[in-house]
Amino acid sequence: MNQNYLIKLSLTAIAGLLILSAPVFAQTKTGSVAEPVQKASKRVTEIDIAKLGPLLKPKGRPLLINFWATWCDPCREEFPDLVKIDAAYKGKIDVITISLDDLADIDGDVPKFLAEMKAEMPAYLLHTPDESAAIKLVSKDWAGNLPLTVLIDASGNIAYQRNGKLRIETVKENLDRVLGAPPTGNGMFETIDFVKIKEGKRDEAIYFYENNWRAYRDAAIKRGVIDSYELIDATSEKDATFDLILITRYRGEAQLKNGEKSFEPIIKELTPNGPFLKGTSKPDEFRQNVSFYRGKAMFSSSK
Amino acid sequence: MKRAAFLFTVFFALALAANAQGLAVGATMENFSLSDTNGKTQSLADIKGKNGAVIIFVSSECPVVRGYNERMNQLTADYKAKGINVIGINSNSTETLTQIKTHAEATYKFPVLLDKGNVLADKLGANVTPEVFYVDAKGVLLYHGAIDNDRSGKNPTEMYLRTAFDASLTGKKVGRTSANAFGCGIKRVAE
Repeated sequence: MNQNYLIKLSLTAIAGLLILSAPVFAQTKTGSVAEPVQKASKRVTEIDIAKLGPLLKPKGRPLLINFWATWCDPCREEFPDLVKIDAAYKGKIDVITISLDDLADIDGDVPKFLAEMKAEMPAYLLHTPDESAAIKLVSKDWAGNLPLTVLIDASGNIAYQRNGKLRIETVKENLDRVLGAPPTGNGMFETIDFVKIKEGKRDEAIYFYENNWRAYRDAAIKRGVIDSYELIDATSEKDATFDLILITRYRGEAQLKNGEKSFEPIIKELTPNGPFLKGTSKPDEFRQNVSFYRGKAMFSSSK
Repeated sequence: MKRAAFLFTVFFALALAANAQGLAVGATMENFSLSDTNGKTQSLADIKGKNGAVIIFVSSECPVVRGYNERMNQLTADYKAKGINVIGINSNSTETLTQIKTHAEATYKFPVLLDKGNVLADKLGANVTPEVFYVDAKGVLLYHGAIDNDRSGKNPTEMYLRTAFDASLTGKKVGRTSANAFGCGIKRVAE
């Protein structure tokens, strides 16, 4: 690393710091420092219908979703209660808000209102030309009238929904009911494959799983089809009847049920001419699926 | 505990069923009579044109409805001569007669009828403002839902209601018979 480079780096860092602190300086002149800090902290993320789907899936614990808009009076009226619920159940449930305001308000009225409410939950703004499809995706019993508050349990089922101004006590009762239900682990469902690699075919098998199995799952995570996956190398166990353990984790039973169907388009898209193979051997010639299990997490540590 | 869970399930199922009730596309809308903003009773049969009518649930307060005011008046003007008349219905328990009357007279080129106790809204299964029910001359529901796919009016790409009107007026089957859109909720008496 030469001296010139270090000087350049320092100048860049100083310039960066100046740019970052510029709004604070500007606001100091007008006498209000708190406002821009609040605004900057409440960023609203634009989503379309494709991004809405994964947001409706719980991540191992109950999920409370509120659909609202700044133009909706009851939505604004109930918002302080939503903030209270978020604070009271922090760590036990996830709360998100989805605004149906005009896209033009994503940096204006929407974050301004959220800052006024001191709302800390993740905030999104849904923008789609097909609202009908979005409404159906959320709930079959919804016509699109705001506000809508939906409680989805850790398994992905709608446990409660309120179409209209919420009543905080009723929402809390339902949250307690869902949280007090018999232990359901972390809401994860898993499929587990035990695989035996055939003699001398390890390279071909690993290549096969890395370039097909893993690629499909990476795509599935991006699409919200699965939660995560794991391939465990168990070859050091001398007496094991298997060499690999393949785990695919699904968030909730609904995701598990759709698992197979959801993988079909991914497989077709990524490997239209069949799986990638290292040599000429077909999968059955280098590995054998010993057994397959489907399981539900009963106890688990939180992440 | 089990009993409580059972009762909750029953209650939840009933609540869902109540929500799902309403007039289905293809079913016939019964005639109804309601007071207009001048206290005069008007019926669907009276207002319906020779090719039918469109019932629009409106509100004098909802900003989404406000955004559609001009478009609703334009629809009234464009389709009156073609035999389809527009009927506004206000079912909101939170709006007063004076408020509805003043607003309707200053804003709309179509009559607004008062649905006291949201009886008609319940019967048809209306939940949103604006929400439309388009029936032909016989009262058969041909289209139900949103007017178009852009609340702001800046760039609608699907003119659901006009497309349904035009299909039906030219003797064609209505393609898309329902579409939902985000809007205000009808403020029912039991809320």
